[in-house]
Amino acid sequence: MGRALERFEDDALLRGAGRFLDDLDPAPGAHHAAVLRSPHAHARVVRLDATRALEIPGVTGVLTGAEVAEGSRPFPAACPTEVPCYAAAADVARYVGEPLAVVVARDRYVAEDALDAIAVEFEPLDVRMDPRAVAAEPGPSLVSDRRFSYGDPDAAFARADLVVRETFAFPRWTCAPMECAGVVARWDHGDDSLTAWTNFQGPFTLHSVAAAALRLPGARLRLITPPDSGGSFGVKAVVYAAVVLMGLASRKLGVPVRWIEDRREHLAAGGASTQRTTDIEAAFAADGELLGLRLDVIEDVGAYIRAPEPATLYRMHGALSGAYRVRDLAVRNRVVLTNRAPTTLNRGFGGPQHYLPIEGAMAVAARRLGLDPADLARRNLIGADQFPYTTPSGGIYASGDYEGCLDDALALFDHGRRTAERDAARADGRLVGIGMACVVEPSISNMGYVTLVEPAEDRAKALPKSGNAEGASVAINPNGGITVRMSTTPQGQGHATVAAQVAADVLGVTPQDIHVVTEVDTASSPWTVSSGAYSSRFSGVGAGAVLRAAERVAAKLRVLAAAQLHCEPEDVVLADARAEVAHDPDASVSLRRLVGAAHWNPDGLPDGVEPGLHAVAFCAAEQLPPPDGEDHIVASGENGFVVDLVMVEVERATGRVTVLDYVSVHDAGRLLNPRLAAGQVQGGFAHGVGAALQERIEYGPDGALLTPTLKEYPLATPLDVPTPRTGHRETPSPLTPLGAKGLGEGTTMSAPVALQNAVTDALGAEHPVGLPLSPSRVWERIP
Amino acid sequence: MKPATFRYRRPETLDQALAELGEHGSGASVLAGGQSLVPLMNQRRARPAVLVDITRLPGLGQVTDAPGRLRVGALVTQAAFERAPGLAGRCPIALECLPFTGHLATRNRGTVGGSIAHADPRAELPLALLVLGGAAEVASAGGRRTIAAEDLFTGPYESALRPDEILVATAWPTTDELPGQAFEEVAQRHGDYTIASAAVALRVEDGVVAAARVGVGAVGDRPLLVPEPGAVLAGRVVDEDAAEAAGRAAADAIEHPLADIHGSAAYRRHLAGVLVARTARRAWERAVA
Repeated sequence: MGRALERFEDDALLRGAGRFLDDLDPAPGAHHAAVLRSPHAHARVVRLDATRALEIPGVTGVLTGAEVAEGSRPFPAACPTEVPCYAAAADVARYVGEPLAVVVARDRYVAEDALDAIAVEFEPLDVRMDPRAVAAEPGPSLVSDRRFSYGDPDAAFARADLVVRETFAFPRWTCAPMECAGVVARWDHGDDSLTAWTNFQGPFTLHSVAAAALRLPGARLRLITPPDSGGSFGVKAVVYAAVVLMGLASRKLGVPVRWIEDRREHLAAGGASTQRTTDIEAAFAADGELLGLRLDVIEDVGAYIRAPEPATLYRMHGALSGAYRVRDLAVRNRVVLTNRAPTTLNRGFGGPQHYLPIEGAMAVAARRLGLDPADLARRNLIGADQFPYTTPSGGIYASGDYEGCLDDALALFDHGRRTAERDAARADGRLVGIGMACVVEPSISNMGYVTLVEPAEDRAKALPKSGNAEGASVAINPNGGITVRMSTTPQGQGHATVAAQVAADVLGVTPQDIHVVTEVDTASSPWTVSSGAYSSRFSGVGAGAVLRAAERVAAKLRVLAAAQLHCEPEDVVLADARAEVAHDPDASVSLRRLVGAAHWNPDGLPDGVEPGLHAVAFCAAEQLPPPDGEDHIVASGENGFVVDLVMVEVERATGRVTVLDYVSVHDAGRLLNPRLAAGQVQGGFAHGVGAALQERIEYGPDGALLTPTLKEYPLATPLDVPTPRTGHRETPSPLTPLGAKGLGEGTTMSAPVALQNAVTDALGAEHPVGLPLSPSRVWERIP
Repeated sequence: MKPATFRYRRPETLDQALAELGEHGSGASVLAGGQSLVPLMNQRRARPAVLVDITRLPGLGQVTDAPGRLRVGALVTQAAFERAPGLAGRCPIALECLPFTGHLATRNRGTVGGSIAHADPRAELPLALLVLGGAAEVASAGGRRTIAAEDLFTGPYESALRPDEILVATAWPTTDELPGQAFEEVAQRHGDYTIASAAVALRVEDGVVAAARVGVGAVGDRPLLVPEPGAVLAGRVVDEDAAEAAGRAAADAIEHPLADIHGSAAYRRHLAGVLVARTARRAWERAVA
């Protein structure tokens, strides 16, 4: 543990020997599905006639939106809505790309031919694309309007020497995993159950959502994930809607159905981030103390409020005050529906959207107060002696050393020299700027935070929701082979490597001795409602569950060894694939012999010891209760910290932004594998740079999708993303079993605002330059 | 993203290929590297009834060095053209624009002829060919003809090729005529959607510009040859002032710049001027070096 072990996963992946969903043939004879999608942003489906499609040779059948509405229930939503969301639209299409029907055929080519043959008559309806206009008036499209107040914000603003007022808009963007979504659905008419093989990524709360839509008891919806998944970054959470759609198609047509999402489908309807507009007011004393915050937030979740939304809006609610000591804040949160595709998880999940106004306002304040941003941050950072720290909105930051991280970042960046370089460049007429961001990076989400969308009195009527737990099992077979089974649905993060490291340390073997099974099967895996790969939860509860399960097996091995070696179990040391008696080098037994005896000779087991060497364990994050009656929430089980410093140059003639240097210092607690940690930081950074510099899902005023392919949607590539210089300051978590905090999303949260602050500084602009910082937009702001 | 049904033909000779086109007319599409056509077919935005694969045709895969010309066979890949011996000396504008043409992987299959025939108003090779005053050599069952680059590009993705014609080669004037050459572009992401591009080719006599051809890309419905900056440069030393004047003249000459999510009309006009000024300077420096 803690070693920078090479990833076990890479050998097979590099040889093309990975097993992704479309490599598998779990339901032989599956027919292929294609989805008819709305070309309109908002239109009534007057008539949908599949007669001609059904005449095409090779077409198995068609499932229409009307049949979906008959055969399923709307997906349960986190708050009441008058716009029910089904797996396909029956009578009104509300976004470009919304499913209207499914064609199933002998292959995808024929299925797409049949799409062309379906006659649809539309009656166009008014299109709503302006979130602010929707938020302005009550109606079905204003789904939620909640106000929160902590401390005494009015008093804080009354004593302010400076109030910064700005508006920040975070663009809708996405993560475009290399492998898109996929489902192979097989409805079993024998027992009326659905088995779906899918590259779903969790949270498995959505298994319940899908089962409810299908009117199935949970045990009759069996989800099985493939061993490999080609990236997700959040977005494959929403494949559950396709599980329902393809499940209904399989039920109707009596054949297994395979649907592999293509890139156009993915970009149109596969899920993207929310776009958020925040009007922020930040009150400061003359010495730079941040006294109070007011946030007026409008969250555009697209055409439907679809689970787990509006979670993006509430994920950060325990960390509203960021890294700062400010106690007085007021928030208004409005959730609006527009005629864009419904949103879903997307790396950073609320963090980028939240820190854009917070850290953006800090940069504006620093300029107006005549302070260096680093000095302003230092004046407000939570002190190292204040941990554990409870935020005004109820979040708990268990450990940290924010000033220490700031010092590390300033030293790594060589801040004094960089500032002098910037000033010299400016004197030469160049547009060079420095930006920074300090962000608290939550990990291990509380399943109950989204219930904040409902007022406390309404929450009280429902079952309370809280916590975040994960399961794992460890088994040793008669030959001494060790299998770890997880439910964290890795998509490239390297969970198997770390799980092997964790289990190996506990069992006294090498990581190479451990076989890790990453497929999840809801019929047999040790999973929980919160299982999955999201909210940077693996190093906390994912690895924690492996640790607990391995510890249980180890405890049993010690009992067995103690009986053979005639000592007490606590004197047994597991090391070098042997069980040894501490302080007695001559007394030991090999692990293989020990487990062989346990399996082959259960009669010889010590009294009271159960046969079997197989333990299932669940690990829950500590201190994650439901929200209280005053809207306090411990939204996340852990909170890391990130300080970014960046220097950019804007080319005056073209508006192009060049990153001259980027420094990112993290406190992710104990690093379980520094090599994988570096990968997470670089990956999170790449995603943040994409949002900052170039990526935005664009719609026209009529709701037309203007970025339907990766040609129009300029996904950041390695050519666009510099390599940050990174540092780590480890303050171990007292709350997670291994002392780790998540780190997969921090730079996604920090990079957009750090880069925006740097470009704003470079241009000497009074108001922040908006995202994305594309050449055309930046050029328009050059003085 | 699966193509609609099409018939596939892979003729072994040019005559067979031309016969296929003669038979199927506008229902047929010519397939070479497929880097533009196949994605369009997969999206069903192109639905040829017949696909005529010309990759087996003999004699279209060579770069031939002729006096004052490089003759580039239609099937020469963009990557092969980039590696053609002596390209830096003979046709530097091509060498400079090719790295912007898609990505290494697409250049390995994408052909020079395909890029010219595709007539993407944002593409690099059409602009370079236009500025050099090159030409396309096309064949049909009725014979061969040469189309000057100035007459070749007629609109977005539209060229003067008739449905029964195949582009068999492009002719690239070498530095003998216009030795000072430069190309530059700005894209949101390298290798993709050009926001604006510019190319300049010029000749210097007696210490001043004797002839200059200037073109801009991605600002109109086709690559544009703009005479105004050339007139500005004529008879002058291309110092910073002259280059900027040429840039301004180019920007002013663009009538209705494209506007899309990657760049406003005002930005494109400005950028075209900036890039013309830069390429004019670089072309001058090379001409007098």
